[in-house]
Amino acid sequence: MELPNPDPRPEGEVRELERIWATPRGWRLVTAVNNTVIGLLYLGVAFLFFLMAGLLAVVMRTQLALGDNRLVDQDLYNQMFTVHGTTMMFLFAVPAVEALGVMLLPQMLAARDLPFPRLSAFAIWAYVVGGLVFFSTIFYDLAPKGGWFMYPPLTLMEYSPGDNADFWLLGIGFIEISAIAGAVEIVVGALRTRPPGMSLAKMPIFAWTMLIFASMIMFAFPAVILATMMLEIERAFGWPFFTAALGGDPLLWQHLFWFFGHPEVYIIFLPAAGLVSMMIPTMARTPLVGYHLIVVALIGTGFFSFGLWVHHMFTTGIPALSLAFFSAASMAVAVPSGIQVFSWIATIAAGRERFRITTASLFILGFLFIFTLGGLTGVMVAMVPFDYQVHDTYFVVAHFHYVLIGGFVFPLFAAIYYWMPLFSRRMLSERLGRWVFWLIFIGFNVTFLPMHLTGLRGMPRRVWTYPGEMGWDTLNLISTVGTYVLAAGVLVFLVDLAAKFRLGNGPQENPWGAGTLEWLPNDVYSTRSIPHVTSREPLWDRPSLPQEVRDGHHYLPNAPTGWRETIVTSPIHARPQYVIQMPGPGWPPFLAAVFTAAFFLLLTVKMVTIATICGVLAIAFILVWAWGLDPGPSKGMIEIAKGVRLPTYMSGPTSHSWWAMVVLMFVAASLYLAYVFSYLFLWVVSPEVWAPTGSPEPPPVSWPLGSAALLLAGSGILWLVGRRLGMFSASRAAMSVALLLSLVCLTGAFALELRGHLATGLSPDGNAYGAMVYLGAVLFAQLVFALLIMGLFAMARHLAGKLDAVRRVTYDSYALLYHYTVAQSLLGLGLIHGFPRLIG
Amino acid sequence: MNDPVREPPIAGAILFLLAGPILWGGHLLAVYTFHAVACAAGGPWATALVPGSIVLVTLAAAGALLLTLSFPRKLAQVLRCADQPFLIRAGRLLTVLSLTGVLWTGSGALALAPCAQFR
Ligand code: HEM
Ligand SMILES: [Cu+2]
Repeated sequence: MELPNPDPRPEGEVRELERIWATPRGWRLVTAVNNTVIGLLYLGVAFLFFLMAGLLAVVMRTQLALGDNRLVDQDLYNQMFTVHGTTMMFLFAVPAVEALGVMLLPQMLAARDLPFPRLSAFAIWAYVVGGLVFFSTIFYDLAPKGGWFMYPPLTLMEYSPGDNADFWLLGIGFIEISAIAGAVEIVVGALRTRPPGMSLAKMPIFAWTMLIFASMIMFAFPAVILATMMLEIERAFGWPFFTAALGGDPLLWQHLFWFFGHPEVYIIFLPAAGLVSMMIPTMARTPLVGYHLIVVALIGTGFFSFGLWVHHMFTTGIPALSLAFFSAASMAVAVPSGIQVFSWIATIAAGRERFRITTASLFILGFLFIFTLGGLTGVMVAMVPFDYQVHDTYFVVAHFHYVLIGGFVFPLFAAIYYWMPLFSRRMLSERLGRWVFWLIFIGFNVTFLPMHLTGLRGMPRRVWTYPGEMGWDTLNLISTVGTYVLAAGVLVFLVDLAAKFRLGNGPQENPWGAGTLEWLPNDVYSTRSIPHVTSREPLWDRPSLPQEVRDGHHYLPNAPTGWRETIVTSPIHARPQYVIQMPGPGWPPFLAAVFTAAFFLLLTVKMVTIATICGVLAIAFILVWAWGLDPGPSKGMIEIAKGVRLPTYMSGPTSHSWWAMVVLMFVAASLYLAYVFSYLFLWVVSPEVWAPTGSPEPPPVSWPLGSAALLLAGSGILWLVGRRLGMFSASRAAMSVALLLSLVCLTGAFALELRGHLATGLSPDGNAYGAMVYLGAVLFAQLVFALLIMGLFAMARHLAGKLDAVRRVTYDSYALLYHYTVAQSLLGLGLIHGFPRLIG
Repeated sequence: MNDPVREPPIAGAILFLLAGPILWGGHLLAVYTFHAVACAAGGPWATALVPGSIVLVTLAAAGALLLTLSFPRKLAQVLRCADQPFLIRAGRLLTVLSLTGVLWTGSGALALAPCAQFR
């Protein structure tokens, strides 16, 4: 292969890179946006949540050690398992995965950073502030008590008075939004910032899993966000989505929650499997056996996991045949997981030399053992009659800890040991590592293996204590002892971590002799030059690569625009397309995150005025931040390799911002589809409250037709302006009038829709039909609100001379979301005005 | 500014790769919705109609899956995505998995009473 930059590089380039990518010091550290810095913060905080939720588990296990124990009372125990489960799932597992993505993905792709560094910073800070406040509720008797899945009717106002449940709904709901922000980043990052030559078929498995992880978040999280909105609205304003007496149905919550909740476990597991697929080849010193099969298994698991959610509802009274559909799907999903396990075993066996036993490999072997057992009990509970027997017993608690701890915590520990040299000057002790592993492994099995029996003997989950004469004492005592052994293992790990972890680069460049790009010589700017990739294990196939990269013989060995930048490549073949200029450290994302968190948390405790102020401030800082984006083409073309020149600016469908908007539109669309599902679901359950017989008839057709006409007019205007942006943007008046007109059409359409329903006398709190109709308006209003801000922002950019025919990203984003809103609202008008007429 | 490197849109490749799973999802959605609505509506017609319809939908889905399995290059053409060996192989395997799932799911209709609850 010919080197992209064969000539020696001029001096000073490295110093320039160091200056540009320098991490801010002192208290300005919070303004940092570089992926290695904020990724580490992300992982650190996620691990802190693991420790705190683990501490709750230790207290719970101590309480359960003996029958009739009185260490904690019932109410506190309820809060503890709720906060333990919620924290582990939402504040530890998903964020830890995202953190690993933020830290490792750019390194594995040899990109200088992810495409939207400030967005990651925003998501992370929002999560840190929101998560810490959520967790602290346990100390003030304010924590939710409804279990991690918060089923109504228990969580309705009547049965859960006070603010406790609202902390879950608003706190967790908003952290899900931050997870979505991270997902946008990861999708675009994995598809567009790969190094030249790394086609999809050469992508490291971890990148595949992160891509699938992020896509699953796009489609799964909106369902629970909608459910959360509905429950919060019902608690605050009494719209009866889940109240059976008024035509609602608590089962709707279960459907929406588990449509998210089941994929959630694969959202956690797949990236962990990806980590394992990266580590095993290194330890076995041979390429992964069955790369294709693994990719297929990952895609298959990710996709099929969306068709299993009803297996959490086997005992809710759904007809048996429907249960059979989901039982079959649940067993079928074990097939791709099995494929992965066999691929790993084959790789271990295929190594020319013996599989190297390090602490990381021990954790991997532990993972294989524990996860496989959890998978087996998973197939057991996928059988409907068996599930009837063990539903809501400790058997289930044992099962899901086997898959969650085996399938995620063990790979995570392996990953920490394995990738530590990238982030710390000293590696963790292998000698203490053995202790850590064996204590955790033995402690885990002693805790959770007996729980299968405790469950089979009938002990229900979520009980704060049990009578001593039930015959459950011994098993529980064993479990509790195991928990302390496990905790001791974690403690040894923490001691070692405190002793060894020093931020910086490791003692050796590639201590394990791995083959993937994250082990190239690294610094704050990532690799000195971005390698040309020709195989899946470039470091194995081209031993001279590290030196070439360090000497700047590959792509973009410098910073020609004088600012942070990385190469954007095409999604399938990874051909260089343009160079993206990225923002550096700054206050706005941090402040916006803090105020967003404040907004949601203050709403929880009903301090509406201060909450509103914080909300306005959050938007203001987001606008300040957005003002600095879209730098325009002023830097022209630059040379990234001998004879390869790329533009430094891109707009339109090739650009990363367009891609991010498309991802967001998918998120919005899944939210809306969840709404359409809910509407139809409640109709199936309670047709008697539906219009035209059970509720006022919908307004005359002229109303929705007027609304639709306005929407189409607005879309038409924006389409026209987009086609002739040069002409329009040449005149201040023309552009402003066009933008304003589009906003008038939009708000007009919304006002008509709302007025129409109000005129019929339909009220949102009378029955489930009214609630669903007005919820449609709420979803419409959200988009209108976002578009109002974006439209006015585009106008301001134009007036300031920052928006024209070329520099048009602000306009494109606005128009894209606008057209999407029109499509969604037309569908909504059809549903809300058409459906009652159809059935009437 | 020179044109960025062109390649066929990724949407085609994604649809191609996911053709099997999408059919599987469509099948599950169809049989589940139909079954839920039919049983909620109740009446003798539901009991009579349910098993046959589910078998029929299942056969249709299986047929469609067999088609995509047999003519992957045609499908690649229709979706205007490059028929790379990687995509073809992965797509095929996913289709086989989906086919297994569809047949397994649908076969329940042959064994179970249409609307009974087993509690
Ligand atoms: C570190 C060791 C851990 C121990 C000793 C432990 C122990 C427990 C205990 C005692 C319960 C309450 C059972 C009940 O009363 O029903 C529980 C519930 C739960 N745990 Fe863990 N756990 C651990 C780690 C984890 C991890 C790593 C996760 C997830 C990633 C997790 C997720 C859950 C969930 C989702 C629940 C259900 C909460 C609910 O019922 O709402 N746990 N765990
Ligand atoms: Cu599940």
